[in-house]
Amino acid sequence: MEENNQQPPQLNPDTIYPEATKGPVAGDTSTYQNTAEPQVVYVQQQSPVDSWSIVLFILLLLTFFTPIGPILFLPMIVVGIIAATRYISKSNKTQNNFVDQAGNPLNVKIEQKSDPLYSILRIIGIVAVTLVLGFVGLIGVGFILLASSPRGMGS
Amino acid sequence: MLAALGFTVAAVLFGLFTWSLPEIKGKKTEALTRNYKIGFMFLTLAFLVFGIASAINDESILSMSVMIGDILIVAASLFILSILYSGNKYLKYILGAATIAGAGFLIVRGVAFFPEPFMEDSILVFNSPRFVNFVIASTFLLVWLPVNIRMAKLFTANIDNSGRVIDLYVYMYFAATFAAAIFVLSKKPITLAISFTAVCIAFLMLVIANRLINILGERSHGRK
Repeated sequence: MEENNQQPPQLNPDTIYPEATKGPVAGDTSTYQNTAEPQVVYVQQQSPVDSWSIVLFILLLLTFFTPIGPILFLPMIVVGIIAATRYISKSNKTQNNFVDQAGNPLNVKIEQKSDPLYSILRIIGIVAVTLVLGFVGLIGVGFILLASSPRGMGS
Repeated sequence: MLAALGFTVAAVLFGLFTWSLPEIKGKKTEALTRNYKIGFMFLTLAFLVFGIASAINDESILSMSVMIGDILIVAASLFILSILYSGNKYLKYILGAATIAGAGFLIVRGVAFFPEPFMEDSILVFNSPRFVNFVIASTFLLVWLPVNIRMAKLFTANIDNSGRVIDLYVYMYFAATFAAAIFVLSKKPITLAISFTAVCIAFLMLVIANRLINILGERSHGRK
């Protein structure tokens, strides 16, 4: 990566959290590599409670306090997955829209790295998510099968 | 002994997870990571208490352990909530209100719904009423889940997202939190056993993933 003569600005954790994107300084047309100290921090503040959280809460209420609760368990997992996916895709969208300090969009190409650790991490991620969500889904199916039980969900 | 062994293994995994969390530079981010670690330390303690009580297998001790566990989960949730509303100008008031609500929940739990757990097939069944399960599951899904996802993004802020590897890392946090929520609200031994296995797998994988993220972070820093 091309070195800049100017001192990189201090990363303000208040602004990087909850969501931040990084990009090169204005006018820098070189390929950007994601490094430990980003030069431009673009912040998109996000409310901690979004519409999907409300949907999740309503589903939880229905799951616990209505007779159809056990059947709603699987939809609750699906809503959770959608909420997480939405958050991740929103973060990615923001990460790819690099802007300078003035808010002008920059044409930035992220350099892909071919580190074997990424492959290992990817395999671990796929195995973990598949297994864990598989188990949770299994419980959901079990709840539906046991829906006629008088003691209700999880009982 | 199965419950004691299981809870101890889970506590060790939570402890390892806390220890393996990637370090993030910056005063405020360090504070967030610290609060996050404290939250998981409380969770580790709760599982250790469950493990010890399961080993003793005395009715009154089991009840007390679940009560202590609930107190630790409430305390942990307050630290996690402080992350969720970090930077909010009303943070103190939000935390104050949440502390009062948490204390109120614990009083209701202690007075009206005192824990009556039991051992079945060597598995500790929490046997919590719906109200208690609902509060704990809601806390996990509405407070812990968004914070876990955001912390996962924060931990990987310096890592290249080639092949959406970071997305998978975030999904791992999502899956772990969901499994933990299901575990807490499970009542039948089979549900408990499956969700418990899911939690253990999730955290074992997260420990390994955290170490890899640490290495990748160091390499990324070294390249600079």
